[in-house]
Amino acid sequence: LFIFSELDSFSCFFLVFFFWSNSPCLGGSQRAGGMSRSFLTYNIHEGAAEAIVHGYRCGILRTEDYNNISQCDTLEDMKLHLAGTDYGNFLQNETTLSSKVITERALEKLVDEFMELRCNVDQPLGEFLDYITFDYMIGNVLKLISGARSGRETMELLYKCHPLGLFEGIGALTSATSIDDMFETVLIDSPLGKFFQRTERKDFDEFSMEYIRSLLQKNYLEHFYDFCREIGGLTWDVMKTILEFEADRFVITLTRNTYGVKELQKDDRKKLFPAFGLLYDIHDDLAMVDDDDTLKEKLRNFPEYADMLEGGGGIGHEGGSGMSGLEAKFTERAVQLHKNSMAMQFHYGVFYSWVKLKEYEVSNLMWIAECILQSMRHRITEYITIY
Amino acid sequence: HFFALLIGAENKMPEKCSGLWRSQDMTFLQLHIQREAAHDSVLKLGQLGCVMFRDMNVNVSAFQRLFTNDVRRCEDTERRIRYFEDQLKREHAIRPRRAHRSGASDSQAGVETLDSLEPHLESLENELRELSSKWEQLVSQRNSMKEHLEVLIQDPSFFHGDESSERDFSSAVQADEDGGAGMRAGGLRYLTGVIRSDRVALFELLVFRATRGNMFMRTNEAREPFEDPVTGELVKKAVFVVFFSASRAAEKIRKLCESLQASVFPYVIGSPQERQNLEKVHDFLMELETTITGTDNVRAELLFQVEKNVNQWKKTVITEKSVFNVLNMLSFKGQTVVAECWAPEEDVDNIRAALAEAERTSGAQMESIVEATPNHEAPPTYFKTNKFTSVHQSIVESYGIARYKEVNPTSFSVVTFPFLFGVMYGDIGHGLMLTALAIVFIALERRLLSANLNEIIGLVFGGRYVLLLMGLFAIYLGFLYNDFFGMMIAPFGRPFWYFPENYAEAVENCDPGYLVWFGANASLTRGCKVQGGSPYIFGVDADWAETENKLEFMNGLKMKMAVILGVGQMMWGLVLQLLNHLFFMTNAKEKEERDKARHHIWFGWIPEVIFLSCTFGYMCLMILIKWLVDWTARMRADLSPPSLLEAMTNFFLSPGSVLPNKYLYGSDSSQNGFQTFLLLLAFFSVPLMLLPIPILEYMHHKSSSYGQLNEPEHDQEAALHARETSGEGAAKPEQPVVTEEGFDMSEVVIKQVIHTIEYVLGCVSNTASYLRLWALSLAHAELSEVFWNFAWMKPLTWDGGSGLLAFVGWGIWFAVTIGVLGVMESLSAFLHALRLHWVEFQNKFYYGDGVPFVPYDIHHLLSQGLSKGRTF
Repeated sequence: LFIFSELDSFSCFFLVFFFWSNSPCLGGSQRAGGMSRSFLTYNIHEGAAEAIVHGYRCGILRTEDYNNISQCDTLEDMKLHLAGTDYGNFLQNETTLSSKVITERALEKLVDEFMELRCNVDQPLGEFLDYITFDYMIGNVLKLISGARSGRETMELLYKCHPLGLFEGIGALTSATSIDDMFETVLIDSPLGKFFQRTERKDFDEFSMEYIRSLLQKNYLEHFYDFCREIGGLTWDVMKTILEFEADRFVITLTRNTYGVKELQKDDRKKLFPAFGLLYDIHDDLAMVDDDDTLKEKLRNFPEYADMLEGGGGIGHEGGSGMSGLEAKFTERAVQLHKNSMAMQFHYGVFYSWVKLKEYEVSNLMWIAECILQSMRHRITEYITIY
Repeated sequence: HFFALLIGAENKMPEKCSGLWRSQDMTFLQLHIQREAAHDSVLKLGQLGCVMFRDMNVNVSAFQRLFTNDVRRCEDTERRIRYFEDQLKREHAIRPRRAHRSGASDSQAGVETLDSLEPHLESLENELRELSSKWEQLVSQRNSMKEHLEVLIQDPSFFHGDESSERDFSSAVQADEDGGAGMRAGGLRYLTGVIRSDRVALFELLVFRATRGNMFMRTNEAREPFEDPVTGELVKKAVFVVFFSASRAAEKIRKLCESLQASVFPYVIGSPQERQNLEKVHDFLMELETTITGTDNVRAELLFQVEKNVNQWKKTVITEKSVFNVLNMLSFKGQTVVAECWAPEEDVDNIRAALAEAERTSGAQMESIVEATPNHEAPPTYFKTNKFTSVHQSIVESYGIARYKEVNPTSFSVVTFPFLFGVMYGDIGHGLMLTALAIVFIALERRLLSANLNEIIGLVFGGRYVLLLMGLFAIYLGFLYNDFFGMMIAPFGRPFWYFPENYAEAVENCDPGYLVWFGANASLTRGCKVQGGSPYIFGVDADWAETENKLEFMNGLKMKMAVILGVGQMMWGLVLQLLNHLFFMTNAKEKEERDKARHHIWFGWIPEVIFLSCTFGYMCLMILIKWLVDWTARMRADLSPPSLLEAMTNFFLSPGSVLPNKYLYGSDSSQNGFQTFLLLLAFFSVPLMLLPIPILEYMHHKSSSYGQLNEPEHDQEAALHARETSGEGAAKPEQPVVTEEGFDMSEVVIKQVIHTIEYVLGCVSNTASYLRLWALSLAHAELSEVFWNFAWMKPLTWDGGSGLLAFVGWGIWFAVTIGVLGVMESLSAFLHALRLHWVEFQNKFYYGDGVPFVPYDIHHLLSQGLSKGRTF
């Protein structure tokens, strides 16, 4: 009996091998060029990396942790509590603590974990992870551009860049004097080059900061959306939801931020909207909107967004972590989407959601640390609840 | 004694077993210490290492405790020590030759306390940091000088290029007005500097883009790498010169250089002044070099001082930190400190002595009080082990910690575990290999203990004593199986059995009384006793090696042996269960618990024993009888040996079907009668297992709840009273009233049904599970035989005297023996022996739900802490 059971495991191997070699016909959804992985073969390539991330999820701070941390009187206490979490002794070599140090070390930990994953994964997951970093690269480049425009010391700005968004030659951006210069010297063959597509022949320097930001964001979202569609499978199902929400959020925020801005023609405004999302059909209408009431009117067919506007639409109404009410609502929804994505398996959205949730966590830590430092205890609970 | 207990006689004879058999007697102590003596007392107790403190401030969060600040100070000091260690590591990396100067670094400086250590280390750290920053500054200055030097010593041709282009350059070289920022060479501007080698390509690309391609760049690797002042790494750098035409590009390139951390040096091509510059830089560099050496020496001296003491400091800090952590668990009330702890009963005197010592050293006036107090929590389990038994104990504990005072399976698995391994791995040769390995490990024990072994070797080394026993038992069983690397040997002289080729030969050589001959076609039993031969002394007769039915014979032997061993071990497990019940019965304080244990013996243990012995116990009996019967004589009387498999199947499925010429003992009718009797016993033991316990519990519950209804006030009063008398009773869990609370009949019934089904089916499946002993030993013997014959013997016959094939064949055989049989097979036999103990043996009696005794032991903490941080 025993020998037969051993033979059994051998035959299982052969069976698995058989399935594996035939997986394209068995492996479920195979859209667009076979980039997706079937359930059967997914774990061969991405199983380990995904398992690691699911493990990291357990390290995300929970409400009990936040309850404990927000009771602290000093940053030392906070360090003591964090030592009991997944962060461990990440602050053990610091002589003096500040909210900046805590944030930096926490971010450093995230970046270390992310880079370790990045070094150990196959394509197309590697490219997917790169796409996650592009978001931060855009942020960094914008920071440098605004620095260059306002004539600040750019080397100093470099140290304030998000560590996930560093790429080779980003330092050289500081040598350029204009955005066109930056583009032509450095950005053109950096990963961000493709996001600098222009619809019209005009120098970048003529655009406002906000316009460039929106343009980059739009292009980024569209590219990422296309890339996820190319990957297909469950990844596409999950990322589609998340990215469409991101696009809608971007459209609504952009609309609200540009009420009555003279420099932005209505046509141009529409051109900055990412060409997908739940609101895609009413982009034309939204481009015309110039006040909150009309916006609500236009959004009445999209109850979730309308409700968000209804609840916290008032400008100046402060929400958590110093965000406006609407923004807090959006964040809440985003956290929910990311949690849903983390609850599933066999897709890449896990990685995206993990990075995003961790980022929220780091900003929470900063918020709490700041509150402790400035003795703003009554506002300490306004962090973003994750788990 | 046993029967007296069974019928309920109140016989109090406490079983005082300790050591490996039952866990140590534990006692719950309350220590009242004067506040001033608390620190020293805890320290002394930690050095004693036999006290497990109980956290009395569970409800206080970590940062609100009394000594959090001191713990923090310790952590800060630890951080300083880590900084020193980092610095030392760097120092050793840079200048390894100094390492040997300070070989034995454990200086015997007087024991320092945290209070004296802290300011000392703080000043040391500041000094070291200052020195380091000064040193870093100097080194970066030196680097910049060296870079400049690199530019200056470049061969003129570096700036001029090949001959064809030389004309263009040298025609009009002149310095630019703006202080050498961009100098002109033949109408061209240029810039010289030094950049990291890995950034050259990027730099060139960026410059190319910035100047729209109107540039020319040339680089040359620097002679030697530069030391990065911060990280201490060696960085390769390259000298570059960029030629370009547009004056506007100069600023751009300069900024690029800045962003890529390249340094730019003014240089005038062909200028005689550069020669003077070279000398100047050279001189300055020499000066810097002497300053750096000076700083270096001071720093090295300081680090040398640090290195001498750093281990001592570490010990102090680890000790102090652990003391403060324990103090955080105690409760402080005015001038006294109350500590609650578990300790082995036999160590109470030592604890008293340690506390008295602490009083003396701390100069406290009040005497510390040690008093044993009742505690209703389950006491922790503590076995005193030595280096031989500790591995066996840890094997058992990785399944579960023994309940307080229950029988410890380790007492038996010390022998049975290696024995069962040997049953599966029985081979003299392989056993010798294992034993040799274990002996090597044990002989080098002292040296290897201090060495840093890798994970796998460390694991094997940790189990060296188990390995030794495993090897010895493998040799023993190897002799029993008569297997030596898969070959039979005849170590004990002449064989007993004789296997003749033909009948005539048989008649001639065999003892006529023991001649069995079935004719030429019957391949099975053709053996007979050698005339005048004596029985083979030990193990299997070597003559089986050449017979056709060797495999059948060995299979039968091993299979039966496996079952007998298995049933025997399970039976022994049941005996241990009885011992547990008896022990808990004798030591129970309340009548209720005694009754419960008694019920478990009558209606749990007894039917279980009956069931097992009437079914598989009987099977083992039949095996033994069949072995002992003289079949030669009985076959003459026309009685054929019955198949045991058939007999067992019929035992269950069709009782009374033993044929007249196929009985094993007695006669066919007596065997039929006995078997039916056994089957009925086994059958009726099942309801006995299933029904009484739930019924008894239900009845007990009913009667006791009536009792409670009658005098509820009295009970409450008693509970109140108990709470008052027990001091801080609020913190303790309320014990007495809990037992009756959630009585749920259906739960009890379901539990009992599951237990019964599990046991009855378990008897079948566990017995079958023991067949793995046979299966593994068969696989092992077959594999080794095949390897012997095909990897070694076959090439030997093909060899024809050249020796080449024999060489290769032997190599293959040896490699396979080590790899497959030595490593893989032993691992799998180990795992199966583990499983047989964990599942089949221990589920008969072992609760395994105890709490481990983890004493506060400073020596242990120190050995852990020091081995972790020993990096230099």
